Amino acid sequence: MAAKSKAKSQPKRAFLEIRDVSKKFGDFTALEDISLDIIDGELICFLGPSGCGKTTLLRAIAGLDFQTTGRIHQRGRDISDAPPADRDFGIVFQSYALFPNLTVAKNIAYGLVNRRMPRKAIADRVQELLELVGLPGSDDKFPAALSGGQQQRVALARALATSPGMLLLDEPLSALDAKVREQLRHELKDLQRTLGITTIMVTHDQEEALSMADRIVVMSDGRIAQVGTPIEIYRNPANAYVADFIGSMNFLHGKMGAGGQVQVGKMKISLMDKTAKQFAKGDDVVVCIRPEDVAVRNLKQFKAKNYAMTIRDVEFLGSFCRVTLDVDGDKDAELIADFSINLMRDFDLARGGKLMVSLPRQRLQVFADDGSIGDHK
Amino acid sequence: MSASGISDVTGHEPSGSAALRRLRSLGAESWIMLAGIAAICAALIVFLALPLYALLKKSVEDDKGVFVGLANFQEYFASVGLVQSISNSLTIAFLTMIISCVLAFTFAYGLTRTCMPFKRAFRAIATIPILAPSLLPAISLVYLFGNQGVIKALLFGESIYGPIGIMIAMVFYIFPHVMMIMVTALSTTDARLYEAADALGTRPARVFFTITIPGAIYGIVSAMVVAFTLTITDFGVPKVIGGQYNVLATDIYKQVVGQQNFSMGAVVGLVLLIPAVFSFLIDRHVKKKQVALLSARAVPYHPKPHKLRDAGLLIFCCLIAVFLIGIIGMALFASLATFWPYDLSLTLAHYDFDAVDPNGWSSFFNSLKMAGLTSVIGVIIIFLGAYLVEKGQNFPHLRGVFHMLAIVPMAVPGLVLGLAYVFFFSKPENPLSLIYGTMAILVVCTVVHFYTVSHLTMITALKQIDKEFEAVSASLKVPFYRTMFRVHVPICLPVISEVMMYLFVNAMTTVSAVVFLYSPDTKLAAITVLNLDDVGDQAEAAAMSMVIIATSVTVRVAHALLMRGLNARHSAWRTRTD
Repeated sequence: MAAKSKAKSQPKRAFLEIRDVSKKFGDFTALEDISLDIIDGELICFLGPSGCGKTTLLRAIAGLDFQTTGRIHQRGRDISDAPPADRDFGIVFQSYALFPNLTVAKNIAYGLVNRRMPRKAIADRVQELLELVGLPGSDDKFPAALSGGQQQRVALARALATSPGMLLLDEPLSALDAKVREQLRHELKDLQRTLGITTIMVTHDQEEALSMADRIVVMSDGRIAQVGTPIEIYRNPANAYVADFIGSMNFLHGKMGAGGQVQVGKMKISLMDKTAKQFAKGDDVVVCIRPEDVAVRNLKQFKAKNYAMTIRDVEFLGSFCRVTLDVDGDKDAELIADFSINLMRDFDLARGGKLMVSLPRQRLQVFADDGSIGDHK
Repeated sequence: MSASGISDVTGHEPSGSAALRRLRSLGAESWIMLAGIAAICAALIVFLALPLYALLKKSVEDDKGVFVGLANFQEYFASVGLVQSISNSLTIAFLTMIISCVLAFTFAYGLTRTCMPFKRAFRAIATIPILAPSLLPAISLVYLFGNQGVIKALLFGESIYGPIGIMIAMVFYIFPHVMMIMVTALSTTDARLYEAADALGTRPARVFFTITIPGAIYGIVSAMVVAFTLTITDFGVPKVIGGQYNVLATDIYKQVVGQQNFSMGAVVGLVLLIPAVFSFLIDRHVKKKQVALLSARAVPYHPKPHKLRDAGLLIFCCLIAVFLIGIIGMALFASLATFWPYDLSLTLAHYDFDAVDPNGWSSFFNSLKMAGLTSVIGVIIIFLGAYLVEKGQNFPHLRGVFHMLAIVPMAVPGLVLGLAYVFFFSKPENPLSLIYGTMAILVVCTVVHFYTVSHLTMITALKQIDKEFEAVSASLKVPFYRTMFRVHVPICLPVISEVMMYLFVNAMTTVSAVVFLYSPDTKLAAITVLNLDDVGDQAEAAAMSMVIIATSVTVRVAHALLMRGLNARHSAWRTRTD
């Protein structure tokens, strides 16, 4: 079954080819030269803050708003100028967009009725879809009688009813409560995997993207900032924007010194050779490290400098603590670190306490400091 | 896998050719949409823009159609009598605006900000005047304060025929319009502001002037503008009770119907258009600001009992109710009295309209037919137009043009529109002149006259419908018109019925727009009222007014019952009803 093959295992002929797509609204450039291949059967997320162009790109793919320039091919067919009705997709919106005056069954059957299918076949298909989305027996209810999560399942069933070649999801979970959202996240991913349907999901929720997507397209100001698997994006952000946008990150502003070391305030941080080689002595750089990568145990293994740091603040967050650290009150080298409760207990850490930490080289990301990267935390 | 590195295919090209290519690849649905918008645009151009242009043209021509520049305007402004009408009209409109706004504001304040009883009843009573032609209060006032009036003494020797009569009748006629805007303005407030003021120990008078008035200010301005426009453009009231006191609206009528001086009529029409357009622009400006004032998080205000205030406003509202009911009651009694004021025994003789006017009862059936056709044809066109503007996908410019055209009728007084129709459709060389003098032109003129309010109501209703329905429908390959019929029409049913009722009631009561356009065969009930009053058959005129009111009330009740039935049937999915 096609669904079983992992999207990244073998490069296939791209299902959807997007080439140099730009979109302008008057003087405002919403999309700028977007080129992207979407692979058959994958779930790809367009991720970015509001106004980054992710929804505009989705609407261009659907034909709901046309791109100003650029081409889009679906399965080799040029759909750049095709109206939405001539394209092959199902779509689910944040608002569910269920027809309030039609029952659940009629909503799901909405696209089927138009295809002159026999009544029995339609009824069977509706039952099948209701089972698929886990809502058997809801046929005669009206959308207003359903919860948000249930409504979104009906919307999904309606989009899938006509067996489209591609599923477009525009912030499908954003209107739901946290608990329902998490549950539906799993169901949606399962369903997508089972059906093997190529799916594009637009979201501003990075957790959603990281947990569901085969690949993530991080967007910023109408451009693609990075494309990659969730792990690639998280571990190896291509630039400071992605590093900042995904997860939490420490940004340490410093100057490149001798011997592959960066001077950050009173701290000297050693880098991997291949990282250090990208910069010249005296360059302004930003050293990035994730809070969970700040090491406290078995420091010797990292073969890096250790720093004696003071705990300035402890924020209890349930399963872990977010700790603010610095070296002798040096604000330039202030760090946040996520420590497990276990570690907090073992090292008997509390506000005002001291400890030795290390910044493992292989976990460090370094970017040139162009002044655009804030040290807001 | 990177997004870059695939640059062998270029997507760049001049956007002009892209637009052209897109036009060629437009689906059948887009063409249907284009045809729809183009058709409605064309209709509004033919039935609104071109007649107005004809009016403009007429004002710079002499009676033979020769261009004379501004000669007509010179003549107009040289005539002392005509210019006097401008100041008369402005005086009346200004004073009526002040009086009606103060009364309506106080009344609305009672309805929204006090705990007085009978609020629903007061509200219902206050909307009664909408159901009557504007001639009715004037006729009624003649019975009350005229030469043989019941309470003539209250005027202390002043005559009701003139500015006093016009103003009292006008206050009655425009009261519901002004009151409803005031109620809306006073309802949209944030209770938290009052709680904050209370917590700071603010005195009630200061609260009123620093919170209540500023919060409602846009509504108040809007109400003032509406009051001013309605007063200055109304024709029925000054016609009946104006006496020798000339105003712009009666001047148009006299110039055109009395003296057959069409060019001068056009000039007066344009003069009347100026304050109407001006008010319209102020109103638009104010409405835009008002939207920004409302926040979705506002907490609704619930008044607390306050004996003195509640009692005071209850008395005030009772007085207003007595005034409104008194006017209607007087007309009703006048229509039933055998021979006012000498024989007050009751009779239905005055309802035998055919005895005094050959087109008596037939004019009523004409009105029913006209109002029915207007509401049915009007609602179809208005719904389709609003749908295409609001939900259409392509051709943003054409939709913009249409939306602008749809707003224009609001700024055009009925008399001016009617006159424009005369100039445009009476010309034999105009192929559309075949509708001149028929029921069709009355229907078209009335639909256009009341287009804007209906259009905006419909737009508001459509805006509340999920804007993604079209996208969903397209992705399921269901044509837009199918979804429109299966989804939008059922959802909008309450508003559709509301607009139909609005059109029907207005078509029943309107005089101004159709007074130039009817023929003996298509005479309307409201016109008959005018004619009967003109020839001195005032009891019959009052009787015909009562027939019109009874019809409007029946339609209203039918509408209410229909809504109740609809809500019961659709209770499973219709969550909110208005």
